[in-house]
Amino acid sequence: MNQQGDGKHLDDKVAVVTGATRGIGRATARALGRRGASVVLVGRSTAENRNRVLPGTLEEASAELAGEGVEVLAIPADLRSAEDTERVVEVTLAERGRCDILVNNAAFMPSGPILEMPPRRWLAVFRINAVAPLQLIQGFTPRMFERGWGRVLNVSSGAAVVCPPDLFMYGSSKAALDRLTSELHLEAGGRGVSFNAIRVGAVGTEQWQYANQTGILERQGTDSAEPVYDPVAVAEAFTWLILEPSDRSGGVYSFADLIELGSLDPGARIA
Amino acid sequence: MVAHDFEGKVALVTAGASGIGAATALGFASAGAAVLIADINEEDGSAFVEQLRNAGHRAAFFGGDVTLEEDVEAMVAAAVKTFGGLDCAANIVGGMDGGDFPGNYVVESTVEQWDGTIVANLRATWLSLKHEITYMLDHGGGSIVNISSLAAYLGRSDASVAYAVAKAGIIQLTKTTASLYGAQGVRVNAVAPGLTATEGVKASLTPEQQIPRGHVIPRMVEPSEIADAILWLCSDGSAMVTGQTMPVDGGWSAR
Ligand SMILES: NC(=O)c1ccc[n+]([C@@H]2O[C@H](COP(=O)([O-])OP(=O)(O)OC[C@H]3O[C@@H](n4cnc5c(N)ncnc54)[C@H](OP(=O)(O)O)[C@@H]3O)[C@@H](O)[C@H]2O)c1
Repeated sequence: MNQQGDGKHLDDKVAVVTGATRGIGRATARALGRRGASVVLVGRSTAENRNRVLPGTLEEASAELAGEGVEVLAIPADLRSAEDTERVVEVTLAERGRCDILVNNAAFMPSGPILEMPPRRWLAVFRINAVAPLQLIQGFTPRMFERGWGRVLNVSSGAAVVCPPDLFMYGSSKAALDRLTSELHLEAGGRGVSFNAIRVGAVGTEQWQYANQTGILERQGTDSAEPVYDPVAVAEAFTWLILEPSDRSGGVYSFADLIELGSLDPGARIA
Repeated sequence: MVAHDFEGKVALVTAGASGIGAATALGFASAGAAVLIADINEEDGSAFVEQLRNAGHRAAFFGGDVTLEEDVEAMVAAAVKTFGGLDCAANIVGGMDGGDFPGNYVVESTVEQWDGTIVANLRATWLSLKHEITYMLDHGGGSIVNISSLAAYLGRSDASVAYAVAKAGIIQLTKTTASLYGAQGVRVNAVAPGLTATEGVKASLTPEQQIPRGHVIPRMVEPSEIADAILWLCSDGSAMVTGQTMPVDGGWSAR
């Protein structure tokens, strides 16, 4: 709310957003692009290789942004793979020279009774939700430090603090991402690069709508009376944090914190 | 997709990685079932399973060849081990195999082509029924759907002769199996799709061919519409239906 899209505060910045084919990531890429950033979109779904449950491809997201005059580069990559993740860094540096803003947004959220979940699934969850973000941070921060400007935003979840047991694997990976964020600030803050995390609450993405309609939320025990926010408003709150000076770093913000700070519109709810 | 409630049920879908199988797996999952997707294509199958899991569904992949008995046994065991049971099965594996192809008729077919297609449809479906039913008989029954085809009804279809014969065989296999095990709580039915708009079929047809001449309703069948029929046949709504083959073919077989 503080900044509406018109002021181009990010004109000379390159932003990498993972998980930008749909949901909060796609809305965030758009919000950053509208501020003038050159945007790099990362995800798996392409016109050739669609997700058969949920809509959204890199081509569609790119076309949407390009249509608004945003400079956009799409990198198909599966963050489960260390090689693919490395390629995101290589291609970004080759094509755009650097990454100034990194939004680690992609996530894997399987659910089910802990005792029935194969342990290797926990590894996959950690790989996508915590290890790939660190790999990208390690790939991109050297240039950020060199230039004395950078923003790392890790998209966490309220599940990092509390969630039903069915979502424990996901929640624990987000708790690791939170710790990663605050430790990175302790280690490398104060050099023009900020490290923050946002513990996202319920957001009415395509995935949320689908889960709501098919009774998945009910089964997972996440169909609470909690308000459900508009992805566009959430992307605006992310953008606010990115526009803040670099000394706002090391924070792990809940939606309640963001509302208190005036960056998340408490009225922007879809339910 | 019509809403059904399969909450707490376990469904097995063969050839579940793409086409009608994937639509059926998605149908079962979105109706609340835990789904085991069996397919020979590991890459597509695991990617789809991950998409289902990511959306919040309970799904698992089994890589195997349902024309081989040891794979079929392992597949049923995998459903039981992963999800604790087996309530519904959709035996979707089929097609033309062994180098057989559409328009390959009686005089032109080779033994290899004939056997390839007969095995891919009839042996695969029989073996799947055998092991699904073996489990279901000991565990309170279940409901199974096989896939026949419009080709089974036409004197001369665009498919191969072996395919038409195999799919006609599925109609009989469905009746026989239903008659044998109905009293013990196992229902068996089949769906006979008309021209269905899977990615593979769409890619092989010209835009004119995509409006099938034979369909009374002038469009292709959507994979989700075949899935709808399969789900109904697996649901309690069809509790007194067994041994039947239901055409979902835009009225072609009624002509
Ligand atoms: N929506 C909510 O209510 C909510 C609540 C709490 C936290 N969050 C957090 O907010 C973030 C975004 O959530 P969302 O609801 O917008 O999710 P979403 O709609 O499911 O989108 C997830 C994005 O991540 C990408 N992705 C997933 N796995 C990937 C992989 N292995 N490699 C590359 N890309 C991958 C997906 O793209 P492809 O499928 O194309 O790869 C998609 O673009 C996540 O970190 C999530 O944990 C959301």
